[in-house]
Amino acid sequence: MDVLAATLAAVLFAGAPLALAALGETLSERAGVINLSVDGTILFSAMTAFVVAQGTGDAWTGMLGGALAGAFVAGVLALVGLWLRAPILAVGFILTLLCRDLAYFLGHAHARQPGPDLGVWTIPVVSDIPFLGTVIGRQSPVVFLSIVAMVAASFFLRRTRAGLHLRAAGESPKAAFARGIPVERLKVLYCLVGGAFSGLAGAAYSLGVKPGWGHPQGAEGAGWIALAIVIFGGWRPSRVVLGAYFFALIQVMGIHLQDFLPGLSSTLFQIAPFPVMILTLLFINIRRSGRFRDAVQQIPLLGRLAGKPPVGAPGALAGVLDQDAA
Amino acid sequence: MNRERAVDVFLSHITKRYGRILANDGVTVALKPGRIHGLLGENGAGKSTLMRVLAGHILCDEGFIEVDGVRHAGLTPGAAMGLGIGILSQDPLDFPPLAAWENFALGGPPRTRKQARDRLAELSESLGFSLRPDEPVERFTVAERQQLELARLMDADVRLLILDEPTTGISPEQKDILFGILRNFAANKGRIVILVTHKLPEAEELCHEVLVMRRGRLVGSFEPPYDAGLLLETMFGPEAAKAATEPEITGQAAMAAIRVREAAAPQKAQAPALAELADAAFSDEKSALPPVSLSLRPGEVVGVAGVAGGGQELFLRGLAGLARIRSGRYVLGGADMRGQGMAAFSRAGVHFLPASRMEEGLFPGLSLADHARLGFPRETGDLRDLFTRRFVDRFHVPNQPTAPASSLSGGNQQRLLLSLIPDDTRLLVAESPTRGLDVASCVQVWEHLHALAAKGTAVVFSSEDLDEILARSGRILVFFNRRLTADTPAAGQTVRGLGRHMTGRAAHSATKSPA
Repeated sequence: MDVLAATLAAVLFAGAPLALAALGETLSERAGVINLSVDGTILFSAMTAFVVAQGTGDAWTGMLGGALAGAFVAGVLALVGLWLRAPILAVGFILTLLCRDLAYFLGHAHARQPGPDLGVWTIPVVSDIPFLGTVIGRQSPVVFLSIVAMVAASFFLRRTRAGLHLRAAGESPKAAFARGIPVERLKVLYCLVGGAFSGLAGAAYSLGVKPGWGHPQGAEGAGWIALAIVIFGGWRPSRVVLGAYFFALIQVMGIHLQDFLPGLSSTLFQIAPFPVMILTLLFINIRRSGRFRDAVQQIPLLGRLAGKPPVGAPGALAGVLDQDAA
Repeated sequence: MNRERAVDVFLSHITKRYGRILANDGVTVALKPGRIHGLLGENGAGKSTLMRVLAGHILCDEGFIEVDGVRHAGLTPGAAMGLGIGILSQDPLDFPPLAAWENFALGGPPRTRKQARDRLAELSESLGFSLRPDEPVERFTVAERQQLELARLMDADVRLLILDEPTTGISPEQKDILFGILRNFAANKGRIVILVTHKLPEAEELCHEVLVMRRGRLVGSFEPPYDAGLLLETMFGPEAAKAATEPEITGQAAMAAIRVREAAAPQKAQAPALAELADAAFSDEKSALPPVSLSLRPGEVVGVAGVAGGGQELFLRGLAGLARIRSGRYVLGGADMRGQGMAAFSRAGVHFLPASRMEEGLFPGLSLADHARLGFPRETGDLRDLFTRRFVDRFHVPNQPTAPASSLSGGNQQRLLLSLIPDDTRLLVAESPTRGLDVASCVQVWEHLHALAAKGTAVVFSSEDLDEILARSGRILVFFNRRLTADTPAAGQTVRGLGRHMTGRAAHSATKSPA
């Protein structure tokens, strides 16, 4: 029982930055902006957050610095890709590489130095409850941040007028324009918001999950995973965050299995999460295959389960990230 | 703003250029309160451009709009709505995955979910619609999407309502409901309706005044009683008007001609079937049709009718080999085609003419010569010779073999597609083959399709225009709610009768109020 609770706690902890980055990208893509610079943004803002925290001695100021750094990178993307109309996918790619190298270069002087981190929050009553206390009672603030962000993003998209405008702009930009919704301004706004979330994710790594700055930092590749999770989570905050935790779960499982199976190479456990992720996504999305649906329709119970295909990409992105299954 | 006052709108010297094309060339119109104005003209005459300028969707290069005596050099959609100008676009400008109430609320005043749903229910009731508020709009029919947009515009209290080809894809009964609403709307408080259309009978039925545009200019204004011949001449110019009268106006006569043709070829009925569907069920990613059984004979011209989303789209695709055959048999020339790829269908002599010509039919970036090469892979001789002989001389494709397909006009796109139909095609499936074409191109399309049929090709085509189906086909299939509801000879059918099949009310009385 204790092992299980500890595992869950570790999953929540490891998945929190991933969840933040994926949530940010979800908001950005729902508004119709594909920001491929997430991976570089995470490293750049991880470095910025750590340097700011070290300079001011306050980890929360570092978090703020990280968010601003993320919004800044997204601002560059918005300026070049949205305002000056350069191809936004290509710009995103290049920004990723630029930000990564820039982070290592600018952060070099601060590498492998001690600095503040976000520590652990102990929730007064919850922490005394046996199982729950271990899972959520004594956790890093980034875990609470990711959960609050998920609830807030979900509520925002589904229940608020601004959220409706965001979805409208991303679904049919032309129709939204015709109704007087400032589509371009919304795209810029949510591109910046998405960048700020990625920035928080970076800060969550360097001030929480993988504290400190160095080369490598440990957050490398997280941005790409976040991008994939957004697509497979169907652009819905709750599913996207679940996807992030699921990825963290297979990573943590890998570490545990390493203890049980000492004969296997540790590299195997490091790369195992990726194929497991692909298989899981295949399983979730197989309903989209017409052949599969035809096949299971003959089988009474499975046919019911097959149901309707899951939702696709926002209208403005359809065809770019989401091709129709045949 | 006092919404009780009659609205007064004046468009002055509106000019809009797209590159070298002058879409609107100094158009000046005064719109009169309390009237339904028809705006007629062939495709590309500049009707939609003018209306989009008025609704603030695009800015004009020169000219101004005067509303209630206030001059506006250009409007934004928001500003136009503020002045009470609303447009119902040809393709519904809505948000398919969002719920009906969300579509309704977007762009309107701030409302809670409950307020929006209540207001929508209230308006629906007064307009006689039944719209499911929580359903995503993508599951609505075209008519329902249009009704939702109308409800939204009524809620915004528009005083000038523009409808751009509103009767495309809806049934005759749905059209009657719409026209009733428009008459009420205009009669009330001196409001204005502009009906953009290329269908003469609609304008005659509804409008107090008809404005005609041609090549970007306003070329005429008419009041009832309308002289159809004069209107056509104004729309198309004297020569084309003559050609236009043949299929469009005298549909009955053309139908008689077809009947004579059918009667003159009685052996067709005895000819062995070319294609046989036995409980064949087609499906694609989004939908599935129930099993269909029918057979097609060589030389038949079969018109397929149905409101948009009625299932005829998938049926045509299935027939052409572009949809999966879930169950049943599709026998073509003796072989079962189930599970066969498009290549097998091609070998069996099936050819598909898509409605979205550029997207599905052509390769925008490839040259006309490349299209010839792709279309006739076995042609080993001089390609230039083939191109001149077939494409240019026979089908009047522009003689520019190196030009990309994307440079072609709609009519020339269809000409290129026609020249790519192999002469030995046994089954031609054509999706709205004349959609958006000018009169001369329409005539050419039908000359060629009928010539193919005369040589034994079975032609199956769909059209949103019931007159065209009645005039051009020998047999008619009607789809409603994804089912084949009628399979009948064209002789003796009427637009009303087909309309009842299209809305699933063939069995009931025609006077029953529509759902």
